Amino acid sequence: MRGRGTSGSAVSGTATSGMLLRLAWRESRTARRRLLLYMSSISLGVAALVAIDSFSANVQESIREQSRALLGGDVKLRARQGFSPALDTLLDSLARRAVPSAKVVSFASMASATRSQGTRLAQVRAVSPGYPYYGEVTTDPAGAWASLQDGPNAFVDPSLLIALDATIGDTLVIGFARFVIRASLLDVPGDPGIAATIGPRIFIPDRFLAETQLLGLGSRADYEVVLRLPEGTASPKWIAPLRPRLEAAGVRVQTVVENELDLTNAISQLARFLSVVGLIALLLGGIGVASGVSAFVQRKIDTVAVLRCLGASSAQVLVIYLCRPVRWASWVPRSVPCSAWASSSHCHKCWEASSRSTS
Amino acid sequence: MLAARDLTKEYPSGSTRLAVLRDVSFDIPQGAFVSIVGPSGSGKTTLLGLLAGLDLPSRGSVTLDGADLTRLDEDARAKLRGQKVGFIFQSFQLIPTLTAAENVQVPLELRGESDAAERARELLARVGLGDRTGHFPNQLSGGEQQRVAIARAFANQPRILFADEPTGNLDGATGARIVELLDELNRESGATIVIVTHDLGLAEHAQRVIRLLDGVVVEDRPGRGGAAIAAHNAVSDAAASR
Repeated sequence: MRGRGTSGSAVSGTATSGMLLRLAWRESRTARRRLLLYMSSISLGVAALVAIDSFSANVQESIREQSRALLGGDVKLRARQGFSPALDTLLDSLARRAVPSAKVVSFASMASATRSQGTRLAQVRAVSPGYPYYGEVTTDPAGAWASLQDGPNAFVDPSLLIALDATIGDTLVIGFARFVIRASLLDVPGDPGIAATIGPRIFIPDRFLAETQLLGLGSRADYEVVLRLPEGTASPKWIAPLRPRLEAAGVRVQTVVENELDLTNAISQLARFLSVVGLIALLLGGIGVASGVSAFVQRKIDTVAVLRCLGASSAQVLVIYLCRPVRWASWVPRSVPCSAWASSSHCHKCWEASSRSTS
Repeated sequence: MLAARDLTKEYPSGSTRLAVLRDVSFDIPQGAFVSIVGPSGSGKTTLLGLLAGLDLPSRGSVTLDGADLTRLDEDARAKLRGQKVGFIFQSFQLIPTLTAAENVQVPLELRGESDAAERARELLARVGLGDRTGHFPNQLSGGEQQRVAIARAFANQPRILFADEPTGNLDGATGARIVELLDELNRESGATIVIVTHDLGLAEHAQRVIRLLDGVVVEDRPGRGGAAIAAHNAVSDAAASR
């Protein structure tokens, strides 16, 4: 056998990287599907964490950009009971100091369409001129919002039109007042669309609110006022002197900054929760992958020992196993191949295992 | 040539040290067929591991073709093994994910031989497995696996081949064929063969038998292989002188 091939063989003395890669590829034959699974699991886990973080950052950025539109003004005052004469006086005096305000009264009521005789529980919002100060209410037909205050008009959610079998131009009865449906609402800033699923919204001018005769003593209604401050005014600082007086009168004050903080905190907590869940899932997946890799390595120790017996250097063994994707996933130190891993003790293990019973 | 000098191997055992081999010395000339025999626990496998440079002695030295293995670091010993040493194991130790041909290719590729695939096929044909090159180890019988292991051991044209119970997992007939094959390859290649075995019949095939007992060489005598060769040589010499 000695003479055979001696002259014909081309010996370079060391294996080329191509040869080692080929050897590694062949040696990974039975593990490729598992490697793919491990790599996919880790990649998906990391991608999910990155996506959560990115989603949270995007939402918070959007909130910062649209915080005024979400509130409808720079400051919102909210009360469970009607605004007191003292508050009305205060608002009047603010208006004289270039701080206009708009009122919104929200309550639930039955609404019916005269033509179809359909009735439906709806959320009625009686708003005063100027509302909202920031953002734009989009309607169908477009640009109709400005005409709300022109008369006894009503702007309604499209779902109400369907529920009442009504169309634009039909008459809508709320309490004792009659309104003409002028447009349907497509988007109302600061008013999540999900609110419409609880009860479709109807916006009416507040000057016709009294005609409905729906609100009296003890009626359940929310009273809100949004204020628009001069450009560049810091809302928390501006409201600070008024806050004690307002809160003593049962009025809740919310500035654009507080609103932004509330929303970003909520989003941030949600993102933190999702991140922790994702991290735990990734950790559990990592433990699974690590134990899988560990078992894989245990199975491969004999092969490494054989390779060392056949003359493979530590570096060659390292290359053979490092080039396999499973090593990329082997972040658990125990499973990382090292020179010790391919040491003679393992090589000797092969010898010992092979001939345990001979000596 | 392989030379062992005062080889001693000790392992810690509680507060004392357990000597598995004690002051073992011998020389094995190139091309010899030597068997090492002895009861279980006599230190045969430990001795083989030391001779092959898989382990280091507590004391003493092993010299292979002039290189003192005890003075080489791990990678240098691995390189020397790749160049000069072949191994045959009792449990074959083929890489299960590689085909027969690929298993034989491994030592050739580790040496950087570009015609490894062709040579692997030649070697497998030489051991009678030319038609099983694409089979995986679990598709081969024990005897076939051992023949693949022999082809792999001879792939790098070793100066010395160590075999640890090469017939231990085989039936008598298959074992005999393996021994014949080793004998043939020994004569053909001129490689030194050192076999550790329990099988006295196999041991007697060798030209020289070294017997170990409790880590000490208690007998070093010619085997039947050696006696037969000596008798053959004597007859040849006598015929030539007439």
